Amino acid sequence: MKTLITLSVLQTIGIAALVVHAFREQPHSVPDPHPANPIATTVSPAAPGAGEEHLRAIIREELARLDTTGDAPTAAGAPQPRNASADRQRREVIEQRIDAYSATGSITDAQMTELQAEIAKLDDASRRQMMSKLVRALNSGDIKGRL
Amino acid sequence: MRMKRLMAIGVLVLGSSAAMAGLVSEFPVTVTLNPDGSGSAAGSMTTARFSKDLVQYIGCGIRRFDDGVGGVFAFGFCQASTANEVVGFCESGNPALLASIGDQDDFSFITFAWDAAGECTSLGNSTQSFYIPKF
Repeated sequence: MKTLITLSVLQTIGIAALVVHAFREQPHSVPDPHPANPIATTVSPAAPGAGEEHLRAIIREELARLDTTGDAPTAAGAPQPRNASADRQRREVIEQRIDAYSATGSITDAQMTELQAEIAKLDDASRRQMMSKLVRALNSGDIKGRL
Repeated sequence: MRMKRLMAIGVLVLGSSAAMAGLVSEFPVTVTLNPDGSGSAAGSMTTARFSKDLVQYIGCGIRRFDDGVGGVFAFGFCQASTANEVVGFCESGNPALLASIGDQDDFSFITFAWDAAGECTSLGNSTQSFYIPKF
């Protein structure tokens, strides 16, 4: 009987210890919602009261790091800003070339490839307009040739 | 004896002809041009390629150009010419239509249509045994 009472007391103490341990561990066991975010991984737990200023400092540090490592969103491969004036000028030249081919009545395969390469350098809206102008000229028979 | 040989040769000739049989469908290129600039075209690539005239053709393709500012300008196009040199063209930057151009085969029957701006509105292809030419 004595042994049973001793075991029961030990079991109760053990359970109590586990409960206390579980409550202490809970804040750390919450899964990180952004485990792959490199910025989030460098954030240290904010001290109570530090709040906004602390976050600003971290963001500043991260931005400075991106600038120095060249890992910024403007890395090579990203589209460069367009020059509206140059676009307009280029578009006018292409328009005149299509008109010239219409006047001549034909376009060779090499000229067509060259023209399309020039159209490629235009902004999206101008590309669509010039491709449309070219195809309409072909369909109407004003320009004899192939795409 | 001679009769038997002739019969054997006859069976062989007929047998080889039967092996080459099967439906063959010729479909010359047709182009319809509407007054508003829209239109459509259809035809079998094989029929166009092996036609007696020197002007008939039909097909589609994709072109990609460096745009000079770090991007690529890609467009798909289709074109056709009938035996009487009535021609039809269209172009498109629509990725789904570009993908359908990639589905076309050497012996495809091709259809396409375009709107008044010359932009492709539909592209179709059908690859069937009866479009394969007689060899």
